[in-house]
Amino acid sequence: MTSIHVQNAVFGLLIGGLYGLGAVGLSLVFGVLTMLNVAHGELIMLGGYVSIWLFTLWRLDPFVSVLVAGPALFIVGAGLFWVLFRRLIHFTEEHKIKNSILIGFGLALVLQTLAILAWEADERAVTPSYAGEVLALGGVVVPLSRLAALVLAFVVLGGLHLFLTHTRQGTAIRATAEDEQGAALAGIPIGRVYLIAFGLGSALAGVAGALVSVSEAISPAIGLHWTLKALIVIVLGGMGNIFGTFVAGVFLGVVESMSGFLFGNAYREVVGLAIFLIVLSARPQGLFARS
Amino acid sequence: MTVPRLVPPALIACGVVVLGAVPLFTSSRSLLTWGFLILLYIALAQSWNLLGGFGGQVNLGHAAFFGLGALVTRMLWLKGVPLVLALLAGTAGASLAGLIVGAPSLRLHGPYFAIGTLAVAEILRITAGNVFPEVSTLPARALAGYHLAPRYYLALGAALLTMLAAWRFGRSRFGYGLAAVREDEAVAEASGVHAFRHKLLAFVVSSALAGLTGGVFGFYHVSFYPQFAFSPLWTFDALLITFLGGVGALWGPPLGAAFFLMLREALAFRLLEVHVLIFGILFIIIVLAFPGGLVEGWRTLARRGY
Amino acid sequence: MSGDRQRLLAAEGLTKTFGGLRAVIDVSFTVAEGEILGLVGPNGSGKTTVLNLIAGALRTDAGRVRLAGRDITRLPPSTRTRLGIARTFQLVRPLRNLSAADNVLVARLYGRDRADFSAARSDSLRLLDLVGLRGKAQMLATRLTLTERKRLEIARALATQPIVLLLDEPLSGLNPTEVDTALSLLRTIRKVGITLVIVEHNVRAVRALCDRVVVLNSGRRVVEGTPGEALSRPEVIEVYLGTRSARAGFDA
Repeated sequence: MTSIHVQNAVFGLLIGGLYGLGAVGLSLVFGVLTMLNVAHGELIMLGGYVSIWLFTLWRLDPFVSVLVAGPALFIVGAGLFWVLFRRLIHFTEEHKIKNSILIGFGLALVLQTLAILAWEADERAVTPSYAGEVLALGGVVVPLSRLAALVLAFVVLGGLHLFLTHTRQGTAIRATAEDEQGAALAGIPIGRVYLIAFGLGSALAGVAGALVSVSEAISPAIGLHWTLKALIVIVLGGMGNIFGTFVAGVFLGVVESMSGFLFGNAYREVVGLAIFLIVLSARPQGLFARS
Repeated sequence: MTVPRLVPPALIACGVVVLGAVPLFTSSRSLLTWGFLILLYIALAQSWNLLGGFGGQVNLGHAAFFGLGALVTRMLWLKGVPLVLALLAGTAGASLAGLIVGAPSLRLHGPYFAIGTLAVAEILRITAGNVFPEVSTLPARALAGYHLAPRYYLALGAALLTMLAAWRFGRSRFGYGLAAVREDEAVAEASGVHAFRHKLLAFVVSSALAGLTGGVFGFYHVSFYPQFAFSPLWTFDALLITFLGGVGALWGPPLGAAFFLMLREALAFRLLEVHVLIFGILFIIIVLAFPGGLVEGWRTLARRGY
Repeated sequence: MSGDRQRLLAAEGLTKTFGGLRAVIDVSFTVAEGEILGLVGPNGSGKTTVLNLIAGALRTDAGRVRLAGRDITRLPPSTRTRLGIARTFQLVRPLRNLSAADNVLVARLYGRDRADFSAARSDSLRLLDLVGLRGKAQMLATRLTLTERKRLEIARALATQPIVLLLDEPLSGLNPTEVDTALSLLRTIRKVGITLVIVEHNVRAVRALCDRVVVLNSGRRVVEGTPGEALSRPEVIEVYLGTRSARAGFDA
């Protein structure tokens, strides 16, 4: 009986790491630009398709595809910023948030539709040779590829942390998130920081998407699902704290997994969303709030 | 009002009479369907506009109230409850949901209201799909007596009701208070406007009318999955039509709905996806470049004397 | 009842903390009916926070606010406005996409002693006339200049038919001529019986206008008295030392 719970917890942990990684990019973009890109989940979906495409064409391992999905989505994100979101940077904060949500809402639909036109609506998955291999610990089964995805997610977040704290570019991004006007006065080129932050946030979505493809099927419709996951995780974990986001992701994964067991799989999503609403109501100013 | 009236009252009265007379002079299926759809979309978009346009609160979960109205109305009606009562129940259910969702979420500021409503809609969509997984088809008895005209009249009623509400929102004391809340809540409060109460009332009216519109839709469709009425696409259509026509403007949704349907007709692609793609891009362009929509364009032309 | 006249508005032990920062600490004072009270002090001394606590834009951590003896500490800002407390904002905040006339109209429709539409409309135009904006009544508020917006802000506040008017730096950003116009407008407002509480940096103007001042420093009340006596106290001059313009004001 207990081993079922442990098994559930393990599955929750494995998917939760990806929730964390999926959320970090959205959090970064919101923190730096005060824009909420609700098409973030669609960027994760695109990252997943990069992996599937490379696997189908050249049998490229999904873990190697990460190296392509990241840069590819960086370019997509930078392009989206340049064409669309750049036009909002001079708005007041309230209008910036509202209009970014509206644009993201439209963009989500556009990206989803493009994906349907390009790859059709049905689910696709990568099937590397090691897909079925598991690590058996007592009565608990740990799929190896999922474990590797979790480890890689953690490594990427560690790399992001080092980038933000130990490089000039990263420091500029943090300074802009902290105090945009001060950063501008200190000579930091805000426009470029925005571009890089948006690109980086999208690249993180791309990496997350490629890692998702290791263990889950990808379809054009998964975007909203992942956007909501990312929003839940950010609200739970707080803003600007990479490892807090990771922990919140793992927490959400475990809670969903457990509640799937308790209430039936059909409602596991609903439980996560309900927690989200409760946290939102309990802290109306939100955990996003910058102090 | 300081803004010149776009449409004089006499013209409105004529318009209503003409719209009401359409089913008397034609029984053309395509014409009545087209009329039904345009009226349905006017009601859907205008009900969003009440809160989103006049109140400035971006509700990304509008489909939930539309879906709820459709679900409740159709279920009761198919169980033999008189149609009017079923529609009332759907409307009441949606407004109750609006109250329950609005009371906590309207205290949220910035992006939280938008993402909170998005989450609520997703919860209801998933739940509706879980509880009612089967397709709902009209029984033979109802199919035999299926006529478009009553559906058309119900849609006309819903559209007129939402237009009336929007007209009141634009001209009443409450409307001025809501406009103040939209512009700046702190200043509205300093002027004596209770911001939260205004937003909540607008939300409840908005979701009630979305529920009524959903009910009309539930009565219209021969066969559909209950989850379909909860699809985020309904929210998107409401936003697109409102922004096309002019957000926060009384005549925005009707203009937007007419344009939307004509464009859809003109495009006439076999693939639904291409429509969605074009409308998605159009929506983004309007938000970025033409935030006033068609109504603003019309006013600009009128001012220049064309 | 005469006690209420002397204590039309009372702040009792107001305290407000933001995170770890104590912005206002145990501040008390009263305002008599018909009086002009100045709230002065250097930047960051807590003047605007006190104003926000009285107006209800911020909730007090401790202490009470009374209007004519009635405890209004827990009431939302809109209810306080309806009871007769109006305010202006330090950084002017017009309702941007409404006309100047509609900015004032909303306040007249919702303030104390609510009017019906036609009365509210004519009152709004009369108020715009008072602040010299009659000619711009139909202009959108975004298109007004900064000084026009400041005047619109005062017209909006007056439209709520206030008993007490809280003004947050009404003179900042105005040139000397405009300051004179504004001062005479404030005197006119007082003449119709409205009690004024003014946060202001311009010491010369404070001397000219206020009956009494409360000096704040680091969130605490330092001194209270007539401008003449309070502003020449050594501890007050010490508070202000280092800012040349302030000293110029004291020397005058």
